[in-house]
Amino acid sequence: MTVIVGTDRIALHGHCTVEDAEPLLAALLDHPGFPVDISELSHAHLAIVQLLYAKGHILGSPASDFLSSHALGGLIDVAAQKIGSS
Amino acid sequence: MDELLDQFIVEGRDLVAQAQRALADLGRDARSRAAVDQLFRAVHTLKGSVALFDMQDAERLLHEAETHLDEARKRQFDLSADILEAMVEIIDQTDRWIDDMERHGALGADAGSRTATLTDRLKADQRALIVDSDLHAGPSAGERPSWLADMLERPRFRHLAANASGTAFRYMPDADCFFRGEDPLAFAAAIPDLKALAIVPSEGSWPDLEKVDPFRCASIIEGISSAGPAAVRAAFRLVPDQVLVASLGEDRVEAPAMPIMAADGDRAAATLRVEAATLDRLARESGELGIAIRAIQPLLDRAEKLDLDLSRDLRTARDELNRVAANIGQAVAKARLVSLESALRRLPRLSREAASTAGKQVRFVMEGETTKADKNVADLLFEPLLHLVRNAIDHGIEAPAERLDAGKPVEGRVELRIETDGDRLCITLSDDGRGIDADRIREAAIARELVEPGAARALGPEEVYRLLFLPGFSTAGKVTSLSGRGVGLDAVQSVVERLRGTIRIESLLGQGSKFVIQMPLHAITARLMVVSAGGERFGIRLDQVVETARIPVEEIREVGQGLVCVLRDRTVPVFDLGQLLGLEANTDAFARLVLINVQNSLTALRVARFEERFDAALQTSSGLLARLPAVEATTRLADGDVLIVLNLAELLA
Repeated sequence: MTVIVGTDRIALHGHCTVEDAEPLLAALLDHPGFPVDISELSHAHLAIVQLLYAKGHILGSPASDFLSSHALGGLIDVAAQKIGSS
Repeated sequence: MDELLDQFIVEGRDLVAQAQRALADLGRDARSRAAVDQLFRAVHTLKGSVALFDMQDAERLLHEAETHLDEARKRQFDLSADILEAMVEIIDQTDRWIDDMERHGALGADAGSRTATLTDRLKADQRALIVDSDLHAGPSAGERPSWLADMLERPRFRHLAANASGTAFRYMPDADCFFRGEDPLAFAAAIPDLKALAIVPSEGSWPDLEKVDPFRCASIIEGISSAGPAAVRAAFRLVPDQVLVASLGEDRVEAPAMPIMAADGDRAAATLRVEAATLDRLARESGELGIAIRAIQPLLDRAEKLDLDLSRDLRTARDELNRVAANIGQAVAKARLVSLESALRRLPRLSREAASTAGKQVRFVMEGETTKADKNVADLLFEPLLHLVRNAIDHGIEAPAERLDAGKPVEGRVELRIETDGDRLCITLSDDGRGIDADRIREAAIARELVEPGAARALGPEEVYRLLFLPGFSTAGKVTSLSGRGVGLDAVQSVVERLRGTIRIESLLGQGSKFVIQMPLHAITARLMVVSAGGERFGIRLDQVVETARIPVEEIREVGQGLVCVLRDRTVPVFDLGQLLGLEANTDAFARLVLINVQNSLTALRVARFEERFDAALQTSSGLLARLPAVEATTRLADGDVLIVLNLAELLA
């Protein structure tokens, strides 16, 4: 189980494969106000990453350098700018 | 064999399967641009791969095929039926050459002449094509491409654009690449010395979540690496035609790249190819782990008598071991899942050959061939399915004149559909042929003294169709080169049984037939029920057990030469298991019955005792045991004893 719906956020844990894309999309549609917490994410398939870009609202930064600096870098930069400007 | 060749053989076969899928699509719709693109990509990558080995004839042939396909793409012309046929042969030939490389490390002596023949066929068509020339000029190679300029404008690359060096790339994955099991990010992650990466929407903006198809790739991956263009191309060697590469220092564009197989094995970290034997061993050992843990139970029982605290702690530790072992078992089972595609990829070609031998027009359609199932299932499935397909073409589909008379289209249709339902695999082979004549089967069965005339007339259609599975049964008037070669439906049934599956037939006279096979996706473990009979213990697969019952002996009555009893308003035959196996019969005042369903008929087996039930890793019997009748497999009990798992179909035959 890598897609977890909490009380105020959706969290991605561990290794997220293409099979997790459907449950993630379902969670995003069921909880349109929830951001996605990616701090515990260790690996993500492109199917997951493109859903995160389409959602646009994330929390945290994963430990994996490839994810935080590269694959999700564009999103994390935006999140950081939002915090900076608020 | 050297590692690079090993890798080529696996990847080469995948590419052959991709090409065959594209050819099958083109068979359905010769105008499909997507299928031409897919075929081109597969041939292009194959050509690049064979170039690494002593396979010059294969390289020449694939080069010709690639050139022809490239023309078809650029000039948007459709592939003629002749060319499609030649392409099918080229791919089949490449497949055989891969087999040659695996077995002998070299192509056969006739490779040169085969290449020449097939090349001539392609060229014959090309000459005809040159007449209408409407070539669009491609972008000139010297210009700085607009994609690179656009890319360097993005915020993520702007800081690097000033003192540009290294290699820029733009990777546009196919929309359906996820279905092929690809993760474009894994390719990107394998790029050495990555400086920056951006994931941008392929449609210009990210879609609304309400409209997203989570399994379609909607992204483009762009990036800059400080490594050279060759290293970047190497990371994308499996998708060379989807990548644009430019050297930043000189603004030199190199695209689309040729496939390069890296010799140093720096494969995408996400996938690892493992030898099949290693997985088999892992599965066996994982089964042994379960057996070893079950051996703790008697120790627990002893500990309980000595020290309650100790036994409780031991039990907790045992439960934890069980949990971990179950996880390992599941992970191993998952790792053993393979796409059925590589096992079934020869079916379209062989069905074409079968139809042409039989002088029939047949469209063979395969759906769901990428469904994943246990390696054992994939390995064993090809033969029985080929038999059923040939059967359908040979006996099911009528000759063209007969079809026209019946008001049917001349071209018959044979469809193989593979689906999963929970953890079961469901395979349906249907045809729109003449259907099965139940009366003819009844007559044939009576004539061969397989059933009594009275009993035959009482059988319903489904039961009549089951007679087809009896060894040696054949209603074919003549033996053709296709089916009827002594391998009957009984052989199909025996493989299906071996895979713990069931097979049934549906048919409508004049409209067609349908064979439905169902079996577990995971074939290595089975839930067993242990029973004792005649002083020995035996395993019965739980999926064959309907229920167990305990009834007074008086309720078992003699009918004719046999025994029957009534269970839940059904009259079922009763056999003593001990007696069936040549051991002692049970004489208790209460009869313990295991009601089993084998080949769709119910039978009660009388046993002395019901014992434990457990998940066992089955070993297919070999050596002496394999020669004993009614032995399906063996497994080990917690006390180390070997348990024989009964083949009930054979036992009751």
